[in-house]
Amino acid sequence: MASDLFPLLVVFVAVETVISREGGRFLLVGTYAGLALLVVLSPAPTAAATRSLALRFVWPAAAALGVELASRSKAPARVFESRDVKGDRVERDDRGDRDALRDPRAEVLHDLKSPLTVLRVYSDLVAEAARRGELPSEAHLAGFAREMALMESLAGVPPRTPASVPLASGPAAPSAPSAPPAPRSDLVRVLSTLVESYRLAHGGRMRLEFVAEGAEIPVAADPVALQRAFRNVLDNAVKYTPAGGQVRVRASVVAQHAFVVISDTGAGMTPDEQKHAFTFAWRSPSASASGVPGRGIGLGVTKELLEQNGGKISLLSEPGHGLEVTIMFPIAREAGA
Amino acid sequence: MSGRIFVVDDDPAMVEAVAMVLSLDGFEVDGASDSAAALRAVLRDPPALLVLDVNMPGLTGWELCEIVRRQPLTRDLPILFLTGRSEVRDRITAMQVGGTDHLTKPFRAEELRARVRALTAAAPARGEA
Repeated sequence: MASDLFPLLVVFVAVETVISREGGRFLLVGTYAGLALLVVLSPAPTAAATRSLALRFVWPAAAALGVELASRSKAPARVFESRDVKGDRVERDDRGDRDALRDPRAEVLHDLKSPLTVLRVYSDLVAEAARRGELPSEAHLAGFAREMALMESLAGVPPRTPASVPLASGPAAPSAPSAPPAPRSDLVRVLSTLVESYRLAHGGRMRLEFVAEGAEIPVAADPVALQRAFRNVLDNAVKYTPAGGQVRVRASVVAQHAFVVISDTGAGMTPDEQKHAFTFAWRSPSASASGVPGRGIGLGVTKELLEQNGGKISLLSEPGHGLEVTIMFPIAREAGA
Repeated sequence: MSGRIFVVDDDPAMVEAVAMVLSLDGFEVDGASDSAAALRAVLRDPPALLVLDVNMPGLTGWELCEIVRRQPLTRDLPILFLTGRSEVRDRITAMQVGGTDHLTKPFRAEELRARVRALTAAAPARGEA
């Protein structure tokens, strides 16, 4: 009997060694329990019974272990080491990693919380002035109105004329409100800081380049909206460009218009994908199949933001040869011109 | 109350709003929406308090905090995270990377002012807890 069981024991020891090393204790316990039960129930274990036991328990257990190991290799634990203030090694998860930050839910919440916070802060400041019996500061009201307009533009609410929201006037009413100054941004400044940030984050994986024709390119657009719009385009470029590729940003002036061209060496888009690219929440089958996270919202929001600020956006691509996004603005006139 | 505070958030509107709140208490506020530029500015001229967003292109606020903590000049700089990330593990990570305090967006102006007052008043005591 003992000799009959010997081959089975050899197999068992081998499997046990592998399972124990991989921490799969539940498999080990289950296999032992099943084997023990069969040995007890079998009146005279023979070589045939041994083979039967092996077929029933050992190999299925080994197969299960293989499946488990394969699944582990597909979804490795994403933990990295860091050092705390005192220099001791600590472990934390990778939620600071850019992939995690691009989790769709986290991204939507982040997009909403930031403008909501700005609105709340300004409303607090206005309320505080009211509690002191003072008129609200023009700067606080302007900040509130600007953020409100930005959120309304994202929500598709048509812009209101400033005169439609009269200020309550007290006995010492301020002079008649003048039209708010037109927003103004320098494309070179906005783009150079953005590209520098993306270079820090992704420069090890791809080449990011910014070229500007001129030290300053002024456009009549809100800098906050511009930054959000360019960030969406750059996010896409970086996401869909493989390692070793290139993302290039060029800013130039032609006649009375400023042009920003953001080109990448990624997979590009088919004509059909370009046709739907600005449709809200639309993702091409190839983008969905690529495994690159995304919600199909970025380009739609970008188009809205740019058009609200007098800009236009267009795409040019050939599948397999990257994407070129062109954004155009009228050049800002000098104040008083 | 006085002192210089540096605010870093990828949303320039947030930097401006925070600056307006803190200026009420007499603070001088500088800010940046670009984490790389912010890092250079903070290391060149350390402020009395650093206010950091977490989710930013380029360096995240957590990464920026870790770098600042490794420099002798800014090792004890109080750092306040202002972020939309509100889970317990986010707060833990904020502390692990060397943050001094953590305030979740959307916050009230008065709460921000109270925390900043406390952090700037207790700045030298950081690390003794």
